[in-house]
Order: sequence, then structure tokens, then C-alpha cells
Amino acid sequence: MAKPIQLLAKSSKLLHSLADGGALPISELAEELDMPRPSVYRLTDALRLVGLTSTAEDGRIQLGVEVLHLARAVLDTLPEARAAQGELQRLNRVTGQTVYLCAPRENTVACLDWVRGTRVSLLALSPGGTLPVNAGATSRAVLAYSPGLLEGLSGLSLEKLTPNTLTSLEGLERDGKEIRQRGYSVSREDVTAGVSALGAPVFGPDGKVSCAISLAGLTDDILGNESEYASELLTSAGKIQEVLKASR
Amino acid sequence: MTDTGEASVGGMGLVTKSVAVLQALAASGELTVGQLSDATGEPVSSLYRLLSSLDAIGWVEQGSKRGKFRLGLDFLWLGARLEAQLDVRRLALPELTRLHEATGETVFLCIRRGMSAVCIERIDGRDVQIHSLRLGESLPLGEGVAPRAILAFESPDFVARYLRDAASRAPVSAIAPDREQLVRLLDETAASGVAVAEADWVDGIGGVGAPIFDHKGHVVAALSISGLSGRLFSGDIDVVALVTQAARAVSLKLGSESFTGRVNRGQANSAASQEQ
Repeated sequence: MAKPIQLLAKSSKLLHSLADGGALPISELAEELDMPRPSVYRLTDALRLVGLTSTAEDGRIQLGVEVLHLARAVLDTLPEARAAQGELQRLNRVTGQTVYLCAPRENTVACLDWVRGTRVSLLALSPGGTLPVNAGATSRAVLAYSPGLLEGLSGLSLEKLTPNTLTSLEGLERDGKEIRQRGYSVSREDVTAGVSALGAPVFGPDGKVSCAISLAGLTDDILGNESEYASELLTSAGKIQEVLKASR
Repeated sequence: MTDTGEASVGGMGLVTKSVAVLQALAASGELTVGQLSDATGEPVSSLYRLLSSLDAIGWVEQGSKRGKFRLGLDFLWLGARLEAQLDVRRLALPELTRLHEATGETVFLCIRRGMSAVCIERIDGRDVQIHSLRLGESLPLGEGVAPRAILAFESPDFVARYLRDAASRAPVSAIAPDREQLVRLLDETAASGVAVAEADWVDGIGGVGAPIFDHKGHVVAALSISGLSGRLFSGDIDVVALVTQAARAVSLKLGSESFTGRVNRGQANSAASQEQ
């Protein structure tokens, strides 16, 4: 029997190949996973039996719809995601921009949910994806209110996604101070050129940052409406906070 | 927990066990190892090892309290990508073709855009030309069987908004001279799950439309058939059943019914008539 971690790691890799590439033939999966074809057949059979993959009409392997149910269940499980859902929709309705809900996960900030904007498709961050804590509106909003997180960064080399990405501890500390004064973060093209965002932290009932929300879009659209968008964002953050408190 | 035949071969039972853990978490939210053991029948000792592997690949994560586990964020990633890949037009095409071949009539696939339904696929009938709803053309949601099949399963709020807008027009729709009649038609459609018109838009032309649901139970499209009413409803073929089955087959491909048997179905809109 394969070592648990290895078989499960292969399963995970297989699902990611299908997520990236759509339906794939066994031969291609065998190559990507570096596994002999009979083993890939066995693995896809096992995954198919539990609904994680399915077989297309032409015999290629694709993700199974159970994945959608598990994704839905993740959002149902996370109190932040449940509390934020209505506000994410409202922010999108009011602004037309892309709205993100992100939460700290280890040394990154992970996107839990989003409502896509009508004007541009943002590709840098989508549900399940992560950004480093030094880049992006939600990341920097989280970092500004998580002193321990900033300390943990000392000695690590921080990723520079664009020329505007802050990578020095001093720069991030200064940014944090500004964010705490303003109440929200401003991300000017520090993840993707041409794209900016405003972010606000949401505190949990324990007083710690539980998650952050942001409005993202083309730089002119976001920064041109900064005061209006920031006030909507802070209103929503406050409401999500209340729901989190009440649901405890 | 028992391994099912094939799955146990070569340690594949591990995949089955892992998914049993995932399904227990999906059903209950956060669980302790002990609770997971009760739910899956796996001993606690082997669960610890399994959970650390599942954590490493992002399938589970630590819950809000120590010692509790919940589903991992990797499924958000996989789910968002699968959702983008599921293309209702591509998934519906084999069903539309089958429906067309069985009946020889014109078949349509519509999706909602605002307050209208747009035809995104159609296969023409063998000997009757239907002039309305060409590819890319749209109809108000209150007209035609496919648009109505969509409207009847939209949220009560949405239906109320449509009725408010439609009320300013007279007649409210080609099939319903007034609002009450349209509400009654929507209620009928919601109750039976299928929109049937013996003669809908044009004299002598009838149709049947059925909604297509996604994994959240939301209506995302409708599939329909149109033809000479006399022929459509008097032949040996039960078109209502055929259209209903075809729409359901597409819904299944979109994940409308979970693998574990949970059923998501659009909320029937009796609210259409409540909201007067």
C-alpha cells in the first residue's frame, strides 16, 4: 500500500491538474503525476466512486460535481463567510466592483469568497487562492492589525509582485500606521499593474482580526471613488462584525 | 466502514476513508477527532494520521477551537474552477440533440439575462419553422415556455420585481392579458415543474419548457421544445416527460443533486401569488 501521504498527495495533484486543465486523458494525467497508467486508472476509479472525478463522454477524466458541494460546505462552515455573504453582494451592487472576503491562514491571506465586478475580471485572486501578507488590500488590512504576524515576517524575504509591492518591514510598519489612522488599506497596483483596491479589517468577537473585505477594480475606478467606496466598505465591515458577534 | 470492491484495491480504500471524513465534516461543520470517529467508524488512532495528511494537502484545516477540524480551503479553489468549466450550453447539447431526434421538433436552450431569456442554442424542426427565438434573440421572461420555466423558479423577490415591471405594460404578456393570469401560469409552472403551452406565442404553435438547476439549486437555464400544437401533444410521444427528463439530465451534470444524495431543487414560487 502506498504511503497515505503519497497517495493523498497524488489525489490532490490529480484534482488540481483537472481544475487547471479541464477534462484530461489518462495518458496526460499519468505524465503529470509521474505514475504508471494502471495506477492512474485505479486512482481515478477510486475518486470517481466518491464523486470527486467523473468520466466525460469521450473518456477523458474531469472534476466531479461533489467538489462543488464540498466548496459550498466550506463556506457554510466558516462563520466569517456566512456573516459576510449579504454584505459582499450589497457592496457589489452599490459599486459594481469586485468584492473579496479574505482571512489569514498561516503566513498568507486566503480568499474565501468573492462577488465578481462587472467591468473587469481579476485573475490574481479567487476563492481558495492566497496572497502574501505584504501584498493586496485585504492582506495589508490584516497585517496592520496583527502585530504578531508582522513580527513573524522578520528575516523572511517578502515577495515583490509588482514594483509597488511593499517588501521592507519598515515600509509595512509605516503602512500599518497609516491604515490604523485611516481605518482602511489602500492597495495601489501592488498585486497587479492597473488594479487597485481598498480593504477593511473585520474583527472577531475575541477582538482579533477575523477576516478582511476589499473592493478591487481598475485603478481609476477605485481610487477615483476612494472616499465613497471606503465609507461603504467600513459600513459593511461593521455589519459583518455585528453578525459575527451575535452568532457566537 | 467497508471498502467498496474496486476502491480497496492497492490501498485505494484510503481515498474512500478520506472522503468519508470530508462528508462527515460537510454535514456537520466542525468536528473533533472523536466525533469523526463516531461518524465514520474509523478508530481515533488512524484518524489522527489521516487528518494530518488531509491537512497537508488542504482538504481539512484546524477549526476555530483546538482539537476541532473542518473542511479545507482547497475545495474553494477546485470548486471555483469546476464552476467555470461547467458550461451549460456544452452540457445541454447532447440532450437537445436527443430531444430533437426523438420528436423532429424545434428545441431551444435559454438563459436569463436581466428580465429576458436569451436563446443560446437551438436545433430547428424537421418540417416546421419556428420564427421566434432565433439564436441570440430574447423574449421577456413572461413569454414563451422556456422563459416562463426560468421565471417560475427565480426568487420571490425577483418575480415580484418582474411583475412590477410587467404591470406597466398592457397586455402584460402575449400569453397573459393581465397580471393575475401571468401569476397563475407561474404558479402552475412552479407546482408542476414544467411550463406547458398548447398555443403560446403564435396561434397553433405550442411548447413545453423545463428549468435547469445548478448545484446551489438555482435555476440557470431552461430547455424547451416547440411545434404545431396538434402534433406536439397528440402523438405517441409524451413530450412533457421527455423535456422534463432532458432538463433533469442537464441539471445532474451541473451537480443539482449531490453525490451523497442531498437534493437541491429550486424553491417553487408560490410567493409569486403571495406578492400581489
